[in-house]
Amino acid sequence: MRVAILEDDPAQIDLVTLWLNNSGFHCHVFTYGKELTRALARESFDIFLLDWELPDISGAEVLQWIRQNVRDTTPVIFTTARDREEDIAAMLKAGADDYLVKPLRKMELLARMHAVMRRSRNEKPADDVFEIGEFRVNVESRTVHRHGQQVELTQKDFDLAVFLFRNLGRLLSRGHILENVWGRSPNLNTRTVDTHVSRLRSKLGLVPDNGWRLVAIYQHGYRLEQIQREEQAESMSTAATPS
Amino acid sequence: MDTDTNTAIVVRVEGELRELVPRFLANCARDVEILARAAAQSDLDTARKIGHSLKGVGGGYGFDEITRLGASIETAAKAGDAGAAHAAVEELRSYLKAVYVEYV
Repeated sequence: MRVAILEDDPAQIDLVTLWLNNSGFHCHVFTYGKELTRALARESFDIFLLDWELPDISGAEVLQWIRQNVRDTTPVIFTTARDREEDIAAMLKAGADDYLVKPLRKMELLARMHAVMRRSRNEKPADDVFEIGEFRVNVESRTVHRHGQQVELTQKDFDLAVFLFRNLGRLLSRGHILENVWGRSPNLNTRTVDTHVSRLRSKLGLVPDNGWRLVAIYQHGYRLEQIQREEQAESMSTAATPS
Repeated sequence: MDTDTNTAIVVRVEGELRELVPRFLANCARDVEILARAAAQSDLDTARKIGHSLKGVGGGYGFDEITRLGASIETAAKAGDAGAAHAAVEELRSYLKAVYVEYV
């Protein structure tokens, strides 16, 4: 899971990143609000942890920006030493999914992060076997069947397919995909993602005629969409019409 | 940190934090000096900010007393009470001298 941490206190950053890294999260730290909003033009995350008092704009302004500009419902947890009831209520009303008063406690922080991700669309049940459209995916045996026929996939293609299916409808940045499928490796660049996405589109038939669209978003990443039947019919009739 | 173990205040901290705690406590000691100067000069905005920060982080590292004293400094600074802020800063200084960490 990829987490964006907006925090300017070095001691707090050390603590939270240690806890989260040791719990399997990939942490991306931003110390200025504008640094995070700029990054969101090309990056995606599974969850945001926002502090309130920052050197430039406030965490409240960043929350407002996220809710106005980030299309999906990525969960936001406010973490701040402000403990007034009015502050807590104001941030929850403004779109925060949870609010934690500092000092943070490790187990509670992790439990609340998983809870808000479970409630949002970003943490699907980690079923070993799931069906989506014409696909049946078995994570344990690492197989994908389409209309009952097994599709031959490399290890990375399989991991990429699972990541995209589990994040159906979400815009995922290339960095986000790279980190989740390949881990953090300095020798990889985002073109690796483009190559594998292209191959996966072809191998799995993720095209409008089949009811799928794997959309490339310029300078950002990819979104896998399952298109409506009417839209699919229109796409097929357009393709069939002689030009 | 040099501490007479006969008068030490023992704080048990998660072993996971072993590498972070010495730096955290050293930074707290540095903050005490800044706070003392701020309180002496009635620079209560600086005192409020540092107090707020200490309040928010101390307990996370296992030092609830740092959170408590940070809150006292912040409250005193907000109230414009430089004397109370100074007293809380000196209490924090004494605490940092006495604290002894045991990792569990």
